[in-house]
Amino acid sequence: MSNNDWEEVKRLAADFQRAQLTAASQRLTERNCVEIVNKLIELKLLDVVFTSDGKEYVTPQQLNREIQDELYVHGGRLSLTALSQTLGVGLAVVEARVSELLRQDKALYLVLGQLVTSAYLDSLCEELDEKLSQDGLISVSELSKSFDLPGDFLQEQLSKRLGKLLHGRQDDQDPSLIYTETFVRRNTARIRGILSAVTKPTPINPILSKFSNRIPEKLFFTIVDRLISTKRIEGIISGGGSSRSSYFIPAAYSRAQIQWIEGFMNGNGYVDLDAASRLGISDPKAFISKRYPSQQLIFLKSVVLGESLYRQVKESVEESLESPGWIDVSTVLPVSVNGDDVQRLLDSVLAGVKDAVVFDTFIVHKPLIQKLRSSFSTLMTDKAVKDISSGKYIQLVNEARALEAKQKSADFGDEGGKGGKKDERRKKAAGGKAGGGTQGRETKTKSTKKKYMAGKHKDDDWSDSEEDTPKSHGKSNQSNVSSDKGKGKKGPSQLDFMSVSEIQKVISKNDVLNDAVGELLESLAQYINGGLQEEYQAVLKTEFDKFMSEKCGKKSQEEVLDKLYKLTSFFQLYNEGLSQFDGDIKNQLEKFLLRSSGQEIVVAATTFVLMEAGLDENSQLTDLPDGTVKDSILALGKSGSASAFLECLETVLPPAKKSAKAQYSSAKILVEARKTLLQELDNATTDPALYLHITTLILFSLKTDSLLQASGKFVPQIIAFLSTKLERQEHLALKDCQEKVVGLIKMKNSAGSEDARDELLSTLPCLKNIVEKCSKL
Amino acid sequence: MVDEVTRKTLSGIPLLKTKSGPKDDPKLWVLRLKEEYQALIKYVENNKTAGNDWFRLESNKEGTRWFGKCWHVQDLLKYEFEIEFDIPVTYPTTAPEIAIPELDGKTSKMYRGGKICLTDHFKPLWSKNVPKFGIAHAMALGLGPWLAVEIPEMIAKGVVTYQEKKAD
Repeated sequence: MSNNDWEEVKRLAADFQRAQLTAASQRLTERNCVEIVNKLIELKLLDVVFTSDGKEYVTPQQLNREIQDELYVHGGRLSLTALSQTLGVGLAVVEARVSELLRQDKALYLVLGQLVTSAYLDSLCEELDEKLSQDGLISVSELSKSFDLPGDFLQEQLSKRLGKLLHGRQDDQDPSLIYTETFVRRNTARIRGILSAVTKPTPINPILSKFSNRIPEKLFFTIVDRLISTKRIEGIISGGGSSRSSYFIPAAYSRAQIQWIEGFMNGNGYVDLDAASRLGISDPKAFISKRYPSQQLIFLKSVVLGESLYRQVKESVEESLESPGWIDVSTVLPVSVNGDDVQRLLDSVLAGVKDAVVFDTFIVHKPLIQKLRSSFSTLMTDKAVKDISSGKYIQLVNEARALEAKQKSADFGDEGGKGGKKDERRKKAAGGKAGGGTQGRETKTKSTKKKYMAGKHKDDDWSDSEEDTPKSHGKSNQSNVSSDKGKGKKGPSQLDFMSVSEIQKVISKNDVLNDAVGELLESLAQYINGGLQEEYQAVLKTEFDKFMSEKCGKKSQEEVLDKLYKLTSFFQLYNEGLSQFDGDIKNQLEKFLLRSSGQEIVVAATTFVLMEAGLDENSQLTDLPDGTVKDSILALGKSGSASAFLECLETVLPPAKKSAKAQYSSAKILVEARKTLLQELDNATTDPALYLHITTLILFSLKTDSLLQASGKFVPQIIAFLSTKLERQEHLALKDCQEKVVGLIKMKNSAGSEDARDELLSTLPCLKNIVEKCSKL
Repeated sequence: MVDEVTRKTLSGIPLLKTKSGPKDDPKLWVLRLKEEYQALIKYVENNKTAGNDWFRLESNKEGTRWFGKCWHVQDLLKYEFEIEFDIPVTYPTTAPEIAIPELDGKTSKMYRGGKICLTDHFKPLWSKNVPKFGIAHAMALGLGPWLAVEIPEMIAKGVVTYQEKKAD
């Protein structure tokens, strides 16, 4: 028993040992397995990869096989990402495997992350071959788009299979194009047809578009080049060689161009550049000079002249200058040579020719012009005498002086400067002074009065400018000064010798210029005119000096007298008007009259007296010979009353001729004065004060048959005077208006003056009515 | 008092019935020894099944002296240590004192002679379960936890180093 037990213990001990030893190799936990595998991988004793779910290990060999299987199943083309998904392993693993496969299998390609087999490419090519035989052309770039494969790769693969699976050929210049021989032949035929039919330069673009882009540009140009080089079609491609912007120029066309140019040049001796460029020659000058390398061509702006024509022109110009003395170049030149070009041509033609004057297309020899000019000298003297004796010249001179006087400052106080020396006066004129300074100032300072005297005003100037010599020529150019006496028919202060048309008429009678056209005559006339005018002014001056020494200004003296009569008549009428008043107002009005109208007469009378004594305007009264006349004229200026004034005047003035008296009868003067006043009235509609003033003056003259010389401040008195002559209502209207005027003046631009003024202006028509009514009576 | 893992470990080890020491009636001792072996076999089998086999043990003919080796796996390295212990005379009332002589002096959790210093709760647990606990329990509750705690610490301190040849 005990032994038994011990045996059993022994057995158990053995069991225990066995249990301890054997069980160890029986089982491995998953954790251990992972550890072991890791260890093995680490020790590089085992080569496996994990699947992406981490459940399985796969050996590379298995993966390789699986990849190949998948590729086969998918028809020879499979992307790596798809592979990695279907095989359940990481992309990096797949890539590693694939790169190994690529090393082993030369019929396998990795393109854009996709595995492609040769078999796939073969089938692709078969498909393309079918397409090629249908369309005749395939382009790798298009294929690359539709098959999503890189062009280079596709290119390489296709060229490998060209001739075997793909029946076509690659373009020489652009290997990305593959086409069949029939395609090329078909298109060659079409292009040949089109280009043979074209007769003028045609842009390539529309031709290409005829093919609706079915033919590649490069192939097109290849075909065209071949056609041209084999002389199958004649012509050239110009501009850019092989681009859409280039042109096809058929040989027939350029032949036609050359023919035309040569024909024209031979026929006419020149070529019109415009016409040439219309023919399609882009640089006609270069073109033509290339055609005629030996000739010396004259290039103008719009034409090219041939050598012969140029010589012909030159000769005819030189010849004509000799015998008739002038030539119209346009007659020897083609019509298409325009003015600008003629000018250029003449510059070169006349380079060695002197004594020629060019008018537009005319060339005139200078001696001829001299001859023409000299033919005027007799005419000139005749006309000068005529002008001076008719008084035109004197009048013009005076007008010029008056204008000058107005324009220049009138404050020179020139009246004292009576040096009496001609040269001195010239200096003054040159310095811008004016002899009529007094008058100028007067006109300025007495603006109101000037209005009344407007009709006579210009005559004033006669008084002291009568003897003026022509020294103000050209100083004032105002051209429309016309005198009331209608003598000056021409405006300019310079007296013209002849108008241009007159000169033209004269020279057209010249034998040499018989067949000359109007244009030449006109140009010639103008050309000569300038010199003639100057000449004429000189002649005029000498003639005038001659004339003056003979006649001593007799005629103008008469005019001064005439005017003096007129002024006197006016003065008498004013004096009559004065008599309507009395007392203080009369005195005031009298003084005013003497100051204004009187002074004017004094000046005129002084001039007259001086003239009569044979002295000139710059002399002083004291230079007069002693006698009653001298006393009277001195008294005239100082007379204190109108009657005394008139008395003095009697002695000064010679008895008026009958005709003069008739001319200045009081009735006539009255009418004239009224007319002037009415005119002024119409001009004064914006100035209420002046309007009222003039209205009263008119009414006065109507009611009393006399005239009144009064300034604005007399208006109330005149209205008061008129009260007895007018209807009550009219008088009231006048009165009312006058008050308003006074009110307006007092307001002086203060607020509301505008309104008052407007209101006043509205009453003016009423005044006008009164005037009209009275004048009808 | 006893953690879940220990309880589970314990539940896999059959409990003993005979209360007998080596100096007691040899017949009873034989019985006891048989039970000890059976428990050990079961425990080792359990361990193998769970994949955490961690010791080899054998005894002298009488079953009074036990020796063998135990190992600890850390960082894929297997640290092996010789173990030995005697069955005390008062066994099973007194628990066996397992010793690892080669670690003597290397850790404070150890008595002179390499006897491991067992946790405080081992002894009350043992005495409570006399005679149901045997050598297998002592290994599972005593040496196992001690190794799990002390060896990593000693490795960290560099006291224990891996010796490959010895591990074979």
